[in-house]
Order: sequence, then structure tokens, then C-alpha cells
Amino acid sequence: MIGNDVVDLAIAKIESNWKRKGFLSKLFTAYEQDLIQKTSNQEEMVWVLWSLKESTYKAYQRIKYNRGFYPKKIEIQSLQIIDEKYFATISLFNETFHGQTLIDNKMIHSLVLVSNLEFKKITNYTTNSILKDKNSLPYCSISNNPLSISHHGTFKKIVQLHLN
Amino acid sequence: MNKEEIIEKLKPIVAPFVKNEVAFANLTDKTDFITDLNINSANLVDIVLDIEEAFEIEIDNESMEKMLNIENTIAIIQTKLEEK
Repeated sequence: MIGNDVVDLAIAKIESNWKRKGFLSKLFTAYEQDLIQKTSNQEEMVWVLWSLKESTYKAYQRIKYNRGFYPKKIEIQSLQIIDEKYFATISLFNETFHGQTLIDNKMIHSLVLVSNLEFKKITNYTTNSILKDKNSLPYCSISNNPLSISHHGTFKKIVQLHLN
Repeated sequence: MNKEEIIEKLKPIVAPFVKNEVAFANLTDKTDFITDLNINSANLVDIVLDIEEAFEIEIDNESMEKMLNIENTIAIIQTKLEEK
């Protein structure tokens, strides 16, 4: 299933102070805090990890609807950088997810799916044919394919998972 | 501290993160931080930390999980104040 999340890095700098006391420990596991400590661009790592968690939360809602603020239950299990693209595995409530994150022109965009095979079934969605189900999760009104929508600051991304 | 006193102390904590002023002006128990006030989920942690400071309480992860609306937030603050 599908979840995405966009972070406008310039807006994040204004809206959030990730250095404030308690911020990292309430959101990130020990492993994730270690990733942040060990990198040269800590601010970027904070938002890469956050957008992966947010995307995983959205993807999970399609498996089992379970609203709540439980960032530390969404655990990054591994994170690799290959050609400036992040590849992650994430776990939440005994489900495993796969994430990819791109950093492009002051924007972070994460995409999370349950299977690595699904990444080739993703397209950007540009039409306005969007409806929402009973849990307010968006889908394409023509194909019924699930969509994920994210906007932050000046950036907006809508992605579609082609089921067939 | 009664419910009204908690709400009065809570409003200025939430206000800086609100993106839907109409919903904030018409605040009820059921008002949801994300779906009604359009607060960025990354700022929920700021609200939790600001509440901890203002009320001098500690909010554990289990309680934080439910802090998506006004009603739950008031209940958690009341419980934590009683435990002090």
C-alpha cells in the first residue's frame, strides 16, 4: 500500500526547531537518533527520517485504519544512500515497509510501499479526479487506484499506485 | 484545575500552529488537531513539549498516542496533574 510525504526544507526551518530539548527523543528511536548524530547534515537527516515515518503511517492506514500519534512505533530498520537516493526498510505493528527518499531542490519527498516490486507501479498523479473513502483516504475516481497526497510549503506531490 | 482552566491555558499553546482559524475560533471537545485545525503533524511534538512545560507534567508515549483532539488532550493533562 502507498504513502508519501513532502518536506519543504525552508519552511521546516521556520516551523520546527529540531534542536529543542525533547524533540528528537519523542520522535526517534535510539537507532534513528544515532543516524542523526553520525551524519554531517543532521537537519536533512531529521526530515528524511520524519518523512519516511509519516509516509509509513499513511501506508499503514490503508492496511488497518489506526489513527494516533505514535512516531516511535514507526521504526526505521535500515537506511542506505545510493546515488543520492535513500533506501529504507521500516516496521510498524509487525508489518514491514520499503521506503525511498529523494532530495531535490530544497524538497524532500519520501514514498513508502509494502513491497519493493510496487515502486515500478507508481506514477505522479496530475488530474483532479480524486475522491476520499470513509476514512478520508484518497483514491482515483476513474481507476479506483489508491493515491497519496502531500503538500508542504511550496511543494505538492500526488502519487498513484497502479493495482493492475 | 478544571476543564475550562485547562482549555484557557491550552489555547495559546496550540494557536501558533493552527492553519484553520475558523475551526480554532469554533473550538469544541471534538476538534481534531490534524483534520480540523490543519496542524502539520511534525508540530504535534511541539504541542506535546509545550504542554509538558506549561503544566509541568510529563507525557509518556502511550498518552501522546491519543493526543489528536482537544477532548483527549484535556483528559491526559487532567490525569497527569492528578498524578503529581
